[in-house]
Order: sequence, then C-alpha cells, then structure tokens
Amino acid sequence: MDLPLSSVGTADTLPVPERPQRMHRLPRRFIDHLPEAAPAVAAAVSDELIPIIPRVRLIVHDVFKTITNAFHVLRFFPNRPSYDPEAFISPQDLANFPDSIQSSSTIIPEEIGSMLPPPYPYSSMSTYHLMQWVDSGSNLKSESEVNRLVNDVIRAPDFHAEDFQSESQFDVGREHRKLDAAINSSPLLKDGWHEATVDIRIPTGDDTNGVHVFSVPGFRYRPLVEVIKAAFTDAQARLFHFSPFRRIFVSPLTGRETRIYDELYTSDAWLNAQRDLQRAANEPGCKLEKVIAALIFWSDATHLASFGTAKAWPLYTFFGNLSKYVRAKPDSGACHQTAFFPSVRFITLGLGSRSSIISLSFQTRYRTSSAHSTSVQINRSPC
Amino acid sequence: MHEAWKLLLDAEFVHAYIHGIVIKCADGVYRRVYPWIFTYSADYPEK
Repeated sequence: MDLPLSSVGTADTLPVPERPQRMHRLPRRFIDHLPEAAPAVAAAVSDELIPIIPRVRLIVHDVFKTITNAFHVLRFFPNRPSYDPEAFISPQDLANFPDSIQSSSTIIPEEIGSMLPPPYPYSSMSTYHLMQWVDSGSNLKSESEVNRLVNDVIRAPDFHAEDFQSESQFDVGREHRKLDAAINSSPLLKDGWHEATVDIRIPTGDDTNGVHVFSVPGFRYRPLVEVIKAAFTDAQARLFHFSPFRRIFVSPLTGRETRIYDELYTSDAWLNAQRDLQRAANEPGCKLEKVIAALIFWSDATHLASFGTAKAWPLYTFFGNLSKYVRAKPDSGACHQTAFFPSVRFITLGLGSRSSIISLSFQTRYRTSSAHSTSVQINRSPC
Repeated sequence: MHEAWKLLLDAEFVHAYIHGIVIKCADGVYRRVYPWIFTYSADYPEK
C-alpha cells in the first residue's frame, strides 16, 4: 500500500518505547491570578519650549501609552502625566496573600522559658519599659498606636524626656485645654468649622408684606476651598491622580482593544473636562500644570447612636482623584466632612376659617446637649 | 437646603472654580488645581 511519504515514520523519528511522560498541570480554575498594578509611567521628560507663532494656537498632545500588564491591560494618556501615583502600589496593596518570604525569615528564639535579667528578651531597658507598659494597664493600646508612639513621638529629634521633669505631674486634660484655647483664638486654622445662619425666604401670600425671612441658625460647615487645600497637601495626596487616562484591555488573541471603565479618572467626563481645561487660556503669567480636583459630594441623614434619636445630616466630600479601592476603605480617611445641614420641621398648628397659622420650628439635631428650639408664627391675612 | 449651598459655594470657591488655586502637591510640585464637581448623590431634608 502506497502512503504519502510524510505520514510514514522512519526508525529515527519514532518515539522510543517507554512509559508515557505526562505533563502535570494545575487545572485552570485553581490558578490564582493575583492582581497587578498597571505598568508604571516612565519619568516624564521635561517639555521643550515651542517657539510661539502669533495667531496660531498649537495644541500639542503628548500622547502616552504604557505597556500591557499580565492581564493585557494598558493605560492610554491623552497627555503625558507629570505624576504617576500607581508607581507606589505594591503587590501587598492589591491582595492580602500571605507574605511567605517574610514569615519564614522570622527567627523564633529557642529558649523561651529561661528566665533572664530584665532587658531580656528586648534589646534595651527603654524597650523593656515600653513593652511592660504595653502589656499592662488598659488593654486598649493597639500595636499600631504603640508603633506610632515610638516612631513618631519618641524618635522625633526634638523629643526630650527632660521636658517632663519640670512639671509636677503630666496631665492630658490640662494639655488638651491649652490646645482648645489655642484653636479658638487662632486665625491660622482655616479649614476648621464655621457656623452660620441660613436665611430662608418664605412667601407669606400677602402682597403688602412680601416675603418672610426665616433664619435657621446652626449651619456648620468648612469652607470648600480650605477642604480642597487640606486634602491636596495631606499625605494621602501621594495617591492622587492628576492626569486622566483610558484603561484599555488588549485581547491577546485578536489584538482588539476594549475600553475598561473603572475609575472616575478613566471616565470620559474627566477626559473631556481635562481637554477643555487645557484648551482654556492660562491664568495670566501662570505656567503651572492645570489639574482637576474631582469633587464627589454625598449627603444623607445619619443616625448617631444605636439607641435614641440623635440624628445628623452631614455633607461629605470625597475626591475622585483617589482610586475607589482606597476611597471605599472605611479607615482610609478619604472622606472629608464638609457640612452639617440643620434640619427644619414644619408643624401645622391649625387652620381657621378667617386666618391660618403656620408654625415653624427647627432643631439643630446634632447638638444633643443644647438643642435650639424656636418657633415663628406667620399670620396669614384672610382671603 | 439651597440657601445652605449658597453659603458653601461662596465667593472664594467660585473664584477657585474659574481661576483655580495654586497648591503645592504631595510630590512637592506646585499645580493649579481647578475644583470640578462630578457627582452629588444626596437625600434632601424634605420637611
């Protein structure tokens, strides 16, 4: 029987008869793909000055595209970013997998039971005293707070234990009172709370009287500009995004690009806003980079206690410059309390045939101890 | 409620909204920051 030559195996190419080798492979569903940050943006090159030609407006788009990561996701910037907060993201920030390298390197002392003189098992008497304090008294001292005490307070270069010698007995309450007095008298702390009265104009239905101005006191707020300034100079602002971009998934099979919508700074709204802002004329004499502070407001009634009726109506400000994965963490500190709206209650007391009386009363609910309560009566003239 | 917002969106904010504010950011670079309101999800006090 004639066979095509290609299909006939010769003695050289035939496999040596032995036990079949099997490739051991973990089933696909068991492979755990850990999240990965987008490839970092290389340090921005300094912009070269372009000679200005009169009456010609040149809009230069320094389009920038990162390489794809393990998930075939890349970032497309319409303008080269000056700052990339995602460069600081470590794998530990994205997943809570056990850090095997760190745990295995921890050396456990073998003789735990042996009793040795005081600094043991610590390196110095200072550490010994501190650890004695941590493990005694109130059990409300958390490890992170103790770390903070050591790293931020005791290790501060201008911290001197001798400063406490002059005072007979240290008193936290007395020091707090000093701080309160300083805050109340200082004009420098601008992002503090302000209190104002909201004037509501209510039509009385009377042509001669016009409107009745009803004042609601106890509207507490922080000036928005100061909130923005405080947020942008905060340590968390290291993670702020200033340059919007498109996140794109490139299919490894077809090479087709698919847009991913995930953050406010990858949205069209921001991209368009940024484009409009760059096209707008600069402030006279200002060559600073123009960026957007993305304000996200949120407000709803909030119960302050599990029992009772203590209630507040806060206004929170979040910044879309921050990734939602950071922003949504309850302990991230990304939420800026901006205002407390006073709630107003309308009570209709009675409706007479010749005149009707409408009474308004209000309470600033967030103050449980000294709640205001006033009422105003508006006499409506007979119809 | 709207009167309260009138107090929040004060003259200083409106000026910042139009002209931006210069802030030294966390990376030490000065930038002109323009506040931009993207979303406002809220439940108003009704009564």
